[in-house]
Amino acid sequence: MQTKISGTGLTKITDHWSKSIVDLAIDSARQAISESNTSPDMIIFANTLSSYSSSQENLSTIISEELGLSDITTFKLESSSCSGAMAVNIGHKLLNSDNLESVLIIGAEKMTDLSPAETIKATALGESYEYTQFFGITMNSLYALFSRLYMEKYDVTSEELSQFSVLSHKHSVTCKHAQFNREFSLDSINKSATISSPLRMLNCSPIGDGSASLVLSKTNNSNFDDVNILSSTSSNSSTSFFSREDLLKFYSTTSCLNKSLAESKIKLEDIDLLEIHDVVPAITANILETMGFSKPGNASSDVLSGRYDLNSKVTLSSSGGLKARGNPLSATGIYQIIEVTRQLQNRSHADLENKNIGLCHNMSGIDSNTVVHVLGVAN
Amino acid sequence: MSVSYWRLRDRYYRIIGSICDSCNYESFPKFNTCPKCKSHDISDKEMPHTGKIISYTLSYESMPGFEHELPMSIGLIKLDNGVNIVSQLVDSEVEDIKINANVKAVFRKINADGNSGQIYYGYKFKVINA
Repeated sequence: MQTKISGTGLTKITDHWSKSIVDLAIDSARQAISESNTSPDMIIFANTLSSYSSSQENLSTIISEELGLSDITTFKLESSSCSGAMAVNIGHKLLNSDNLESVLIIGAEKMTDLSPAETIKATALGESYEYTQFFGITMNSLYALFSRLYMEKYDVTSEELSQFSVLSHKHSVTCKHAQFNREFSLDSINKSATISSPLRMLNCSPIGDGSASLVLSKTNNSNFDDVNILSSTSSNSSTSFFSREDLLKFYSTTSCLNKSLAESKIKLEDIDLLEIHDVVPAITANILETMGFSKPGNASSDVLSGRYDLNSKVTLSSSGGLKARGNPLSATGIYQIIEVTRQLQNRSHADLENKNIGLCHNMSGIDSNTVVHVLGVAN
Repeated sequence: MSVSYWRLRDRYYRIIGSICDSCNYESFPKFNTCPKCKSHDISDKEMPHTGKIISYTLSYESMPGFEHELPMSIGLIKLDNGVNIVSQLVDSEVEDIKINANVKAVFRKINADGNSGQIYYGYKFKVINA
């Protein structure tokens, strides 16, 4: 199977008070279509909150109409926080199994129309309503329970784990579409307000509106270098992390990585760019350790030693990741793929050299459903 | 919320999960296919009402309707049969909420539909022998 990324488009992640979810989706979609110099045969719209945050469904039809595209196949795909990458995964499969030339993937999330309390509920919609939301258990509190388990097992402190937040903000400074363009010191992160102990505000990914779009196609008509999807894999495990035999084991991530390496025929050491679901530091650390980029318990000290810096062999979250670029849920996985694509085409905010292979890891919940893409420049 | 609450009230009141009739795997909440052996022969099983804290957090943010609970203590509890459950921790001093603390289930009000609407009840846990 061969899929090229022939168009990209995105909005800044921020509070878009004057724009609806449709306005945001159209902004990014028009950029992607324009870059690709094609008209898509199919549109997949990735979103998880629209019925709650915008009281609107049937958005794929509405957005297609607003884009002036009719008589095509268009539908919405919902898979919680990994909706964006899952839409790319499905688009890639359909492109290669059907009589299609190009597929437009749009991810959009409108989060700031909700009140703060409603937003907290919105981020937990992917967990069990009956056994978590009913009891008022928030998503950040589940992340916090996981974080303490990680800290206990590896004897790592929350202050040490905050190195990941420092790194994310350092990388987003020059990224114009990132939600935050400023650095934070380790001290200020560790003194920020507690959200759910041990997690502090500057450890948690923020709330923001955003949209990102991609055109996947068999031929690249854009003015940019070919970037190919070398593998596209997905895997699910239990929805709640606490019902797993090993509470710290990321079963879906492990499976996706193994399938990705086999499908793309690359080795782990070939990967130069990493975009992972770095939603809070302990989860970031556990993903890196699960994938083998750091030894178990060592990821935060590896950050401190510079292993994941912009100009290191493996760059982590070159536009700031979920923490600093932002996390508009269903658009996040598409922002990740665009970041790697533009880095490989040497047109990103950070001018990184000798980058040929990138891996994007997007998940819902705590590794309950995971999607991994490996991207590479054409040989 | 009323109908789904009515449907689940017994599970909320008595912590009723599932046991696999084929391999005896137990879990909470209930399941329809055994995660261990994939059997569909599943029965209801009341979980033990005691266990130990294996992780905990003090949350300063709330969903709509839980503002009055802040800050909310939440525990990840390993019940005496090895099944994990996440629950609010109540009637406990913050300094007593720690790893390996013994806890037991208590019956409490969870939420309500305004001042004159339905009241929802269910399990919470408290630290014992602190």
